[in-house]
Amino acid sequence: MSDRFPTASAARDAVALAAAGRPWRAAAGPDAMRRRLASRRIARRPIAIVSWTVLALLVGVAVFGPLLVPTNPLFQTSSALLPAGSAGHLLGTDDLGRDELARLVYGARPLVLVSLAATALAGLLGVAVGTVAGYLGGRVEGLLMRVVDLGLALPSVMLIILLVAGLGTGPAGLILGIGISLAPGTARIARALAARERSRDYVTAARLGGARAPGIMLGELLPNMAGQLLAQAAMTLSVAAGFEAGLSYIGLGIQPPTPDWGYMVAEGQQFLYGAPSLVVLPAVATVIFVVACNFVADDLRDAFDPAYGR
Amino acid sequence: MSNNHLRPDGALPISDGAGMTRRNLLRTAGLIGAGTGIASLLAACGVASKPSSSSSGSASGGTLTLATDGTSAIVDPCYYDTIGDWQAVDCICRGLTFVSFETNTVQPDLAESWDIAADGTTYTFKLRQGVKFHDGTTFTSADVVDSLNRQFDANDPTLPTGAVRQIQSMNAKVSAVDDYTVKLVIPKPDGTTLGQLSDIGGRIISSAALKKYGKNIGKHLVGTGPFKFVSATSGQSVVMEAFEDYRLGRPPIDKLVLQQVQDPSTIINSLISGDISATQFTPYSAAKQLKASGVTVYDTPYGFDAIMMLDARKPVLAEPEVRQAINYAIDRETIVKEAFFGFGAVPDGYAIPPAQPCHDKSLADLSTYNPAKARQLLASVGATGRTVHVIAETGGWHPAAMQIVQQNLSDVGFKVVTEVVETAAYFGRVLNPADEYHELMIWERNSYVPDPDNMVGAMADPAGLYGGPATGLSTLKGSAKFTDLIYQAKNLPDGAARTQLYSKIQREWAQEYMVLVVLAYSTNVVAGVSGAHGMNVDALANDRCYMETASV
Repeated sequence: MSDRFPTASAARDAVALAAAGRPWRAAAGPDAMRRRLASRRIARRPIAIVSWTVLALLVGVAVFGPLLVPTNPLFQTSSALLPAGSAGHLLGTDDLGRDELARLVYGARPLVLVSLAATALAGLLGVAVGTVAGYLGGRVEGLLMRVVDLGLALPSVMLIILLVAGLGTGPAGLILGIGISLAPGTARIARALAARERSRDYVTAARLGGARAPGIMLGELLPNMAGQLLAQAAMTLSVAAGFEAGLSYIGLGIQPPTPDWGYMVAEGQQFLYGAPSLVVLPAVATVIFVVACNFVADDLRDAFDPAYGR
Repeated sequence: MSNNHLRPDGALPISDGAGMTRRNLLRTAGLIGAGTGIASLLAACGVASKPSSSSSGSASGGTLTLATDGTSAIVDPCYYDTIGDWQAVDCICRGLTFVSFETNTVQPDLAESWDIAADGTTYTFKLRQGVKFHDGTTFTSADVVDSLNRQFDANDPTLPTGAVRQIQSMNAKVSAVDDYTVKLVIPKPDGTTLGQLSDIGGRIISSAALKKYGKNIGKHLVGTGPFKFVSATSGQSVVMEAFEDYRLGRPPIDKLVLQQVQDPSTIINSLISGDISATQFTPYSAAKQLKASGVTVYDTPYGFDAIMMLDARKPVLAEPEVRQAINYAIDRETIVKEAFFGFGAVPDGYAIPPAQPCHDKSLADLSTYNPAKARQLLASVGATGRTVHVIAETGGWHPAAMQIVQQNLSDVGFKVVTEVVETAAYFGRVLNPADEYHELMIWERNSYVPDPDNMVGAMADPAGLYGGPATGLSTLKGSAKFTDLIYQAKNLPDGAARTQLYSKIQREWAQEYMVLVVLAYSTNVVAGVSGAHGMNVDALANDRCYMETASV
């Protein structure tokens, strides 16, 4: 028997629930409870607490940067390459006399915003494709997943570079390029989750209760897949951040003079001996962001899937 | 059961990864990341690993390693991909004439002497006798005819795919009068002919090798130069060895390696450690650090122009006042100070740099910084607030100069959008007027032959690449006059009259059209380990490679 259809006992239970006048959503009770329990397991371990805090701090810096550092990060002065601790320049200046602290703070914005937007795009595309494929199955699933396989078969870096070259450099090109190239990975996860969930009782109940496929996918499947998709999103965020920094490093991302950590590393590497902070600070900040995203993804996965083990 | 496997050769076991959880991997990555940061800091504080002792070479023998921009492993005077490939041609093949760059005069090389007919179109070269090629054959007029015809005949069967015939515009006909006499006929007199023959396109290859290898000669180049081709690996290096029978005597070094090193920090580290002996690709920012580390940084004359081309066809740059405003807006002192770290000068002779004949300081006013005048000019044509695009390639001084230009133009009332372009793609975009960002393009012009025609002639001629696709000078009314003026100027002997004519061309080119902003004069900074001697650093600063007297 295909796993598209519920077992006879499950169907009987669902019919009974429906006949008892209980809405089919009641069948989702255990999952709702699981979500509530999961929320209590988030950020319990020290490494998770640190990671969530760091991530929140970096996002806060990206969003509220201008309030924290009033100096214009684009303003060039004749005081180039001042060391850290110079008057008026806590972290010194770069080769064009711009305040390094301001550039570091403002430089968080492209990384955080581009990677968040790209992750959202990858999630939107991937979850839509994966959920439809996983729920409907059959030929639709076969067709969609072959397209996904094609996307996965292409090296991500090459795909992103091709897309960015075609769409243009800058934030929009980066978001589209990174988002599209990371969508297949999310689609695969979403398809697996949807295929697992579709044969569960609450889905059967919804179907017997007259709900249509789009309603079941949006109203029943997605809430029950949300936890693991969130963990996947955190993982995607770290990959997107790595790509954003890497593309900017090679000149295909955020364009100067806009401050960006990836490009700041590229610009600063010629000063590694004379002014190492121009390279080290943006590089370390990027690494911290990526690693924090990974630990957060770990934490979310552990919280929503305790069976995975610690 | 153990998770480790023993390699068949009994070497260290290899983990199958089963014991490495994702979390462990992340922790390790975090530690490595932190370690890398700390290591960088330690290195920056002078706690880097101890340099090797290769800088203390002997007076003869040994290997001299030059860092270059790259190699395609096709070493052929009729092919261009990287400067490194051309440097290899410089070492392997020599031409009828030679310009050392230590003096700017044309000297005989494989030609012993020459006569120029009264009409200026026929050159008769008497060839040097007894010169040997690396394959043991003797140099004769047949080698000259076969080598130069590759430049002038697009159907020559020995041309490689994607051939670049550097001196094809000479449109010469070459014929052998006898074994040691060659006649070269050009359509009309050209005073730069002898200089052009010294360039890469004029290099002489063994006829026997050309017959043997045909269009694959680039992988087996055979010339009469001081070094013999040994091997070339694309993206890595070209290896050459001393030619025992070089006509001026065997070079002191045994082996010459042109090593591709593209990363600035690797160039710096390799110079300090002695892994490379010298390079002209020294990052400007590193010169001070290198000197402090015992590396010799040479003072070479300023031979190249840092320029910004303006596409006069674009609507935002259509009015001459707007283009003049851009020229007035540029703070060149800051560019010299911050993009070139002092290795340059504010232009005082427009497009002809100080290292070349006909440099004329009376043209200094063509590169004046006057932001007030720029604002006034913009306002006069209602162009304040206009958006302009600036592009620059990713490497070297270009991005820093682009950002200074962006600041300067913003200061006088432009809105500026910038883009850095990967080096390999850059010139293709410069030559594509349909490109969205094809408005202001930062670039440089080097002196491959130290003659003003190589600067003004190349850039102000409406029929050339700069005057045509790059700037659209050819579309501006009256610009055709420059073709004739440039022709006249290049046929004058060096001296006051020639300088005067080149200055007239430049003044009209700048004041009437302003499609080229000269940002700075500079030089490629040559640095070498203390044990490297006898290099022709003036040639190296111009991307040429004459290492026959070098030792390590």
